[in-house]
Amino acid sequence: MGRTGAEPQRWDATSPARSGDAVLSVERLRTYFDTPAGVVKAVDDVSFSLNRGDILAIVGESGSGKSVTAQSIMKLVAMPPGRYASGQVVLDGIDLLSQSERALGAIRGKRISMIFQNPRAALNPAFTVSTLMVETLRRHDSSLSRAEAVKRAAALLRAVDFPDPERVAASYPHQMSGGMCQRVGVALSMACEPEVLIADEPTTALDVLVQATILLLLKRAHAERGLSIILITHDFGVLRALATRVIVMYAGQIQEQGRVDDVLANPQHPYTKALIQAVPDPDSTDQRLHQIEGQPPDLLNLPAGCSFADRCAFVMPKCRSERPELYEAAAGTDVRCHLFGPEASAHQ
Amino acid sequence: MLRFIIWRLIHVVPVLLGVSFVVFSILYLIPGDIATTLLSMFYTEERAAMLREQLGLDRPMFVQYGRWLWAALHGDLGQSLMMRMPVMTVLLDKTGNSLILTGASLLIVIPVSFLMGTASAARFRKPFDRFTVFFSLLLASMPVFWLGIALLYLFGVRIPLFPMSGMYNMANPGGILDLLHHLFLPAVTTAATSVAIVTRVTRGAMLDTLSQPYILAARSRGLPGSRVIYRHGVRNILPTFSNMIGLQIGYLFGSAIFSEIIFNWPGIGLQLYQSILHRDLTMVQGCVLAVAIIFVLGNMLADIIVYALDTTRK
Ligand SMILES: Nc1ncnc2c1ncn2[C@@H]1O[C@H](COP(=O)(O)OP(=O)(O)OP(=O)(O)O)[C@@H](O)[C@H]1O
Ligand SMILES: [Mg+2]
Repeated sequence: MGRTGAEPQRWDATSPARSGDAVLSVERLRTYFDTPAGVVKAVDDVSFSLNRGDILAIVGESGSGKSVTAQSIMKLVAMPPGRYASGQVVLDGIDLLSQSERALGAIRGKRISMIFQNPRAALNPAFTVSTLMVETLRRHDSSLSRAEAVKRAAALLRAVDFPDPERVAASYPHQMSGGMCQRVGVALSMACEPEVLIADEPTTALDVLVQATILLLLKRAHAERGLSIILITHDFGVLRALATRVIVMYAGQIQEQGRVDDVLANPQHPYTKALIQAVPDPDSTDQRLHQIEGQPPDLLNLPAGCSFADRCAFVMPKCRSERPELYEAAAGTDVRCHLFGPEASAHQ
Repeated sequence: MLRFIIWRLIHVVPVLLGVSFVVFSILYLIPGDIATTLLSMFYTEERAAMLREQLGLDRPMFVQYGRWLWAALHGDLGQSLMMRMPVMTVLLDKTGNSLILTGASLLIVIPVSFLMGTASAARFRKPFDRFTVFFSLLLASMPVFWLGIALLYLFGVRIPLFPMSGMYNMANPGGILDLLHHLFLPAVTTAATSVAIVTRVTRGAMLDTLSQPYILAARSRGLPGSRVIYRHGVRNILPTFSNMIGLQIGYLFGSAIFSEIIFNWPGIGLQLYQSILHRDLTMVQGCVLAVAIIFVLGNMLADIIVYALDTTRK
């Protein structure tokens, strides 16, 4: 579909068709790092699927494996030290992890693309914006002439609300603000009109006002193009505003997954409860920030039982010895916690 | 750009002045009567008196330095006592030969270390990378004179592929091919340590670059690995690399002194060595000054190249 260029664009939250079929599914993904100190299980048995036209959020503390999950999906994890111990990532019927680098080159950027947490660091300091955009456009459309690509780049930059695309195109990353860099990042990720976008904390490094503009751009692409998005975030406000489904990660595993409304209103897993409490509620008079007691476990030496057991307020003897599976806790919500296990009724 | 070059040129002046003063003082650090030392076996009362007059040894040191510097700026570095001709004449001749040797070893260092450094980083922990790390460690731990003698023995004596000494075939001096033939072993010897050092630094810089987010981002846009490494990666190590090469110019000049002595290459190193042996102090002065000037100018050149390559300052 064509870009509308300079015209102001509107989005309509109700427009994307939610047909329920998965555009991307991740099955039993395990990404390990072989380090001198041992095997780091950064992603350990993660399965989920992203429906077409959906926005799926992944939340979790720092180090919980969100970025590694994102990079694993595009098979971008450096090997070594990384290694895919098991799993499948299926994009529209293609198993990405079994593809050759060559085949992946045609898929990355074209059908699935990514936005990064540190916008300036994600742009090569040696090249102008124009160089990067032209290179990306021509990588996936060899019939495109350089002049056409330059034009196209200007249109893409205008679509991320740069009033002066030519000037931005001629800029080096260090000449732009963080927010400008991230808008360029969005333009780059949209250059070849992918079906799926992975946004890895796209606003964490930006100030609040700029955050809103970036989120608006994502929302616009979602609404206009039916772009499916995996949105990694720390921010429950972002989650509430954008996402329809949410995955809560901890120590490389999914602890809870479900619809955003359900999970936020009625968190089931003790970790999710603690996490939501850790965020000050703008509506309440109690603005104290709750900290979750204790430290996340060492990924080199994961406990035999539940990885959250040491910090959990509801810990039971079983939690220390036996690793919980994902159990259905409520309609549409899965939780990795013994409280919801098959024998849980005995304890409750 | 032009402003930077001019600025950099201006900065060279005090450095060269300092160098010239140190070189000048060589004469005065030697114990005893300078005229006697300088003349050594050619000593006669008459000559000594003339030399004292010529050097102005009765004047204060700074006046002497001023006079020496003034003469040096006019191309007069005195007479070589051993060779009985102006030091400058000898220097011009020998510096050219040394530059040929240094230039040749630079032409080895640049492509070899660049290719090995970047290619091994791209193959991190794979066999080629491990080989490179091992090989550069091996090279770096071989002293220049040892390697020179070993190469001389292997490829000059045991398998006589290359001539053992000089720049041209004495009996039948040929053209450029003859020169290259004579150049090979000394150039390899001179280059060895620098190849090792620059390869390792290049590999390190490249590994660092390849771990940057913009490399991951380039891959996420579907760019093929070769383009990511050799365009996105390499572009960012060029300043480091050229800086490194610039520093090596001086280092190569130092290594060349050893190679020149071993392979009897008629350059400034060999001249310096012989002048020291013969206590030809004005010649020693001249050689040291020449080496220092080339070192300083080499660094300046490297700075200018680094500046030209650094986009963040444009
Ligand atoms: N190359 C690597 N070698 C070893 N361990 C790694 C490597 N990359 C990531 N890890 C480990 O994987 C774990 C998960 O990292 P990841 O970057 O996915 O966290 P995250 O959830 O994105 O955190 P953040 O919110 O800080 O971005 C971390 O404990 C990290 O130490
Ligand atoms: Mg992260």
